[in-house]
Amino acid sequence: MGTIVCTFHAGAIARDGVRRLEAALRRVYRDELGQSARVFWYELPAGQAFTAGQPSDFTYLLVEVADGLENARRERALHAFANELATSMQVAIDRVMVTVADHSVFARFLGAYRERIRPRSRPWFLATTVLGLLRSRRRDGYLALRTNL
Amino acid sequence: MPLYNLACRRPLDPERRRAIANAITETHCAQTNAPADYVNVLYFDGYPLKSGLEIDMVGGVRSDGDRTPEGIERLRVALHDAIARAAGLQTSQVKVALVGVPSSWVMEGGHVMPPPGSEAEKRIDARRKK
Repeated sequence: MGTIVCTFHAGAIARDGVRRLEAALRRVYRDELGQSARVFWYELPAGQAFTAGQPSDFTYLLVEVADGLENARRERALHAFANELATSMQVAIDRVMVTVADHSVFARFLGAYRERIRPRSRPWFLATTVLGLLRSRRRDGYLALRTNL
Repeated sequence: MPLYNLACRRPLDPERRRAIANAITETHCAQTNAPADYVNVLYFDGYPLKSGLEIDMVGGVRSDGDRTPEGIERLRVALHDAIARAAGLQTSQVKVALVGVPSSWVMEGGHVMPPPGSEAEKRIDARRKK
């Protein structure tokens, strides 16, 4: 199973819109990459994102795929994800950034994020992250990661 | 791309965030000749960072084309210094890690990213500036 992480701006999508977009992203993953995927969501509060030094309205998608995916298939997937995101969010395609990364590089990002947490806080961090995911799944119907702790 | 993800021990005030984002953008562009439009900076607050750290940044950067491992390390060091200066911190209170990503794995601005320094990148830049 692959993983997709979508980072969007608070208020850019309603909760039911997130659920619809999640279904669409999972469908794209299945169609383009032949597997199921789980989707995690980061909702950025205003003032926490910049592009070219100015407040940003970009939406970011990081997609994990198996190592060694051939270029043509990766490029098709990039276009399919970007088109789906732009259409579902009703934004221009140049306002989305999509990365389709091999599992090993995706793992390097996750490793770097985990590494930044103080070792003795990692059990607490993991437990509260899992609890937060379960709560958001029950309350909102999707897996929301906490942007601010 | 690049996408710079900053975890902060405590929330920064809006002016400080903007100053750091500008410092990152200017440093990235000066070191790589990339256009500023490609530089994205995200903040995440309240992280229990390793002892002594106030800001920990993980950046995803293109690592092919005219970029060498030495050039990416120079970028990392320059970003480290720039963030510390803009944040008013000691360099020991800031950590920067970069993860290299091939250009063809990224779609931004409506097109798959070309390798840095390539003719394709120059064409895209020229089109964007029109």
